[in-house]
Amino acid sequence: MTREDEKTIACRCEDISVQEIKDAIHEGYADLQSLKRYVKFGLGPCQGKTCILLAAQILAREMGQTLDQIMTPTTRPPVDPVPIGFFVKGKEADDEK
Amino acid sequence: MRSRYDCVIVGGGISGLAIAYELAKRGYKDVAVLEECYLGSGSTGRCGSGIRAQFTGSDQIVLLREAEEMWSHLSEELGYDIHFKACGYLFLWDTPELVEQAKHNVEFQNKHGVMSRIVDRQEAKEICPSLNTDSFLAGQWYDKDGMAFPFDTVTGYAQAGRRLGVDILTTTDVFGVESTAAHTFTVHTTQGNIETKNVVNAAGPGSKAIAAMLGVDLPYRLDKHQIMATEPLEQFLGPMLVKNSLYYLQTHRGNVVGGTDTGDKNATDIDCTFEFLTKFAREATEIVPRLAGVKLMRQWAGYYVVSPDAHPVLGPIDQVPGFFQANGYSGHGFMMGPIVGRLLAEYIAKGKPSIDIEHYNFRRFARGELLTEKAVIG
Repeated sequence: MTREDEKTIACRCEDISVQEIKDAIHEGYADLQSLKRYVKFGLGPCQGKTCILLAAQILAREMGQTLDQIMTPTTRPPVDPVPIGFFVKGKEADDEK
Repeated sequence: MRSRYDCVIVGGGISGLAIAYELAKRGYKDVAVLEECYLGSGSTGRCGSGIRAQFTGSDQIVLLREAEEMWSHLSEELGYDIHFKACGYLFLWDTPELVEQAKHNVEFQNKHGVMSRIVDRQEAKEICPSLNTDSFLAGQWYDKDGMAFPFDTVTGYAQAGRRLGVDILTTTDVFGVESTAAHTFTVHTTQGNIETKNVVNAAGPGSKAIAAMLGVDLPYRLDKHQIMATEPLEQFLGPMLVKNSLYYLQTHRGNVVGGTDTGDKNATDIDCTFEFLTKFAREATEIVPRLAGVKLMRQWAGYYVVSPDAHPVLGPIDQVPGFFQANGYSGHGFMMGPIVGRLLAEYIAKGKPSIDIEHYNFRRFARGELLTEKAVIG
């Protein structure tokens, strides 16, 4: 454990440090899908665009794997958060543009 | 993984993990759970996280009443916070006919120990201040219904099971099951073969395929159901809201999570659609207009494994001794998890469950003894 890992935030939306991710990996959450759901990074407004790759790199390093051996989570729509009111009009909203 | 167990459970969702934990708790510890992907990766992790006893059939009412009692203590039981909260379910009825039907539902539920009641618009607004009272005539309310966090529940059961000696294996796919002459089974997995006395089929959408390996034809249909989650907000909503097939709640993390039925029966994919978002947005903002300004963060989909009478199949298969079913929940598998865990463990360890669930047996389909349930949401 280093002070640097404790101070370094990997997931800014959920305020999760590099150390918390490393700890969970060593508790046995050693695949990215379970790790994400256990630690709960990547669930905030950016939907993991900042932290998922960082977490994948940490996991690869800790487990001695390469990045392409790591199963990454599905990216879900929308790309950026959109107010629900936008969808009330449905496709009409698009046509009005 | 060993090559021999007393019991092999196929499926690492809430059903399989709860059964494993309840078996181990009863001293029946020679148990393996086999999960093809990661724990909770199937229907459990995709569910709407609601827990209710407001059903219309007496069987479901009784089981869910017992389940809610278990849910309310589950964090202490498992030694892990699964974030159960009795937020209540508020059904909104918008025609005089539906209100009349709701009065009968309430009377019937009360008779079976679920003390739901009809509330007028004013009281509904007190329960949920954000409600648009023009969007319904009356509500149906039960304050012991609630929610829990699916992945934390999976983690809680898995950790507690492992502490008691259960082997839980992920990325372990079952591609064959054979019964042997000596009334045992050989389970073929991607990690090797296992000999076992009992097999539990808790494989969710995969349960039909697992049963087929032993010549059992589970009469299920897969329907696609979609869900969305908003950005996290301060707690404002209160109860789970339900109107027709629309439902949503606010989780302990602050996200509003919910869905509505898009009619995707006999689905072969769980891709999410734009049509779902427009239907959900219209229905959701009609009952809570201020949701229009809340940002939707992600959407996903999963399967309801729907049986001919919308009730699960629970218990042994007469023709294949040692082969147990815990599947076909028709959208209610998460909320039933704790009670299914207990009853199936009692079946396997003692030969008889403490609540009579014989009428949930697979044999009801051959006998034409279907159960009834009208309240399927989402």
